[in-house]
Amino acid sequence: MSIVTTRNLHKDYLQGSLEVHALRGVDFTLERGEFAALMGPSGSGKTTLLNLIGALDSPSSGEIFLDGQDLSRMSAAQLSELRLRRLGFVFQAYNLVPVLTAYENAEFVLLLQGVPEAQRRERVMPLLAEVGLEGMENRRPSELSGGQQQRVAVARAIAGQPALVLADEPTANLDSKTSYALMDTMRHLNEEHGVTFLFSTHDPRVMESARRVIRLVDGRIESEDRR
Amino acid sequence: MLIRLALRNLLRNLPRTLISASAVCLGLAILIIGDGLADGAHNQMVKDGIAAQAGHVVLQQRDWQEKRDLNLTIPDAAEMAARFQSAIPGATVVSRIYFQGLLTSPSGSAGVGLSAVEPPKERIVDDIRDHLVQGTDLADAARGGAIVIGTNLAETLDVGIGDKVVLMAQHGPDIQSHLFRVTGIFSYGIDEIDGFFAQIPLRDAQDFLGLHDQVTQISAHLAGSRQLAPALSAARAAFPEPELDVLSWKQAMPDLYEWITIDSAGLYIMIMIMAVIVAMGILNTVLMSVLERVREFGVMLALGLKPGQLFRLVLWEALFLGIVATAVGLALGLAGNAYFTVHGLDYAELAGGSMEASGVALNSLIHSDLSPSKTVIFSLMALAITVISAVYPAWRASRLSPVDCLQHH
Repeated sequence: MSIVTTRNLHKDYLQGSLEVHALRGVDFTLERGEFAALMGPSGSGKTTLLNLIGALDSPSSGEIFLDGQDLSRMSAAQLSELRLRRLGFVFQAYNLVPVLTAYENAEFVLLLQGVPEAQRRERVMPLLAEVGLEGMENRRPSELSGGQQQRVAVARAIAGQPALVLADEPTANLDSKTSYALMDTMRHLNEEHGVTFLFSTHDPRVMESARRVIRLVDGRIESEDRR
Repeated sequence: MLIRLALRNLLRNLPRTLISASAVCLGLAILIIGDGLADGAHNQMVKDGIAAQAGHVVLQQRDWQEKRDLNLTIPDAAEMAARFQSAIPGATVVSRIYFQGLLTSPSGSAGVGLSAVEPPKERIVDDIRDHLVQGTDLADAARGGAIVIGTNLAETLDVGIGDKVVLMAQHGPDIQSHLFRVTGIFSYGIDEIDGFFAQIPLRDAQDFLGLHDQVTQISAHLAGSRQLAPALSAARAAFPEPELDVLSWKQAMPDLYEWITIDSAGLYIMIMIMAVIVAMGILNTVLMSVLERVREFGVMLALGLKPGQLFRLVLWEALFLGIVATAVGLALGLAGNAYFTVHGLDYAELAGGSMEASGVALNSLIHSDLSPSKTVIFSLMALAITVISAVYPAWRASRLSPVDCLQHH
């Protein structure tokens, strides 16, 4: 059953006076439970596609369906609610809230969802342990390494039990050993909890861990590999 | 969660938070101290003015205020004063004749403004005794024909205690003259008062001017200005005669009242200017802190934080900043005010001389007199300015687009 479907997706924007065609008709479907990678050189449209699927941006033309819902028909408030309930995000630069501890960052989405404190603790503590951060719950981001911060970001992304986690180059700022460890964690969560992952990367070795690789070139899907 | 985040965000850049808070804090403290001293000065001036030149409530002949003519006196003064006293029972009622004359000594002469008073009663309401540098006041004078003059006038006439002076004044077609003996010399440190003002007994003035049982003013001196309104109504009800005027001190001393009103207005303009400066400072720092966190706000919006929640987050930060700054500013202001209430502030030392406004000598040692209601208003104003200044930055934050924020470096 598909969780994301895009139809003839276009995204154009102006960079100064220059019109950039970031996406040029992307037709793409992501099934529930997939662990898929978007691969492509810089400027190929990976981040743009993730932003559109993540309801962070709107397309110039075309349609996006998330869990069967047409995103173009939703208001800003509905899109905000959709991101809160159905989506998880992992960003390249970790992007944790610096004044919150690892635990508080991981529970942030649950707080926004209005989950009671006892349930938040019940959900977040095992998750932090699962991503290898047991005992580091009270550390602020500045007290964690890059890899540890990104693990907190992964825990934050899945704590709210989203239907889909979008990760934009999650290993770009990590060394190779930490990158593989993070990919193992994400894959484990995908296999154990059935969380659907769509992540972008240009690291061929990271791409190896994906079961499906979608190659984007100049805003178009050039090829797809399933393993 | 927003409250926890707001508090931690304030601690995140502590120097900036302290700088922003100190603007509000010092602004409020200065405002409280400044207003307390200004009110103290005004109240002192009103008190001195009321004591020496009028009363809280005064009874005069209609037109006396404009013409200052000795033909416009109150007849049957003793009976009228008794009526005035029964209309305002708690007040000290005194009768006076104000007039001008020429004071002559063997060495010279000078124009004088005279206040003819009932010596024992006058001592209750005026402070001339506190300013005597030589001799006694009229109440202690052994016999009639006593006059109390200022140091400058004594210098001009080259007279001292016990010396004789002749007072000439006109009432009706004839010029009257009378011999007085200097019994006291005072100094307020104000040239206009020390060189022009003189006090003589009421009975002597009545005899000398031919104004038997007549006075130019009967005044009631109250324990505090809060009793002014009921006292004024009672006096007006007791004196319905159309030829008589019952005036409040504000009407009897319009120049002084106007001076205080203008001075207060000046202070309020200063307050407004200070409020704008503080508001601009807060706006600037809050806006800066918002723009520094654009990417962080973008992440929060991406995760599902609503724009309204982001708006509230920035306002919470300003509110906490305002609460702390206002509390500290209030404490500093009250401490400063307590100091100046007890020890006073010597304006003369600051200004390099004595001060006078609208003919009233300003006591050089000003004691603060802080109004509790104004303190509350100023504190709420400081808090409101802090929060209101953050509205625009908060609005800017709430309008951020998550995708633009995430691309922000």
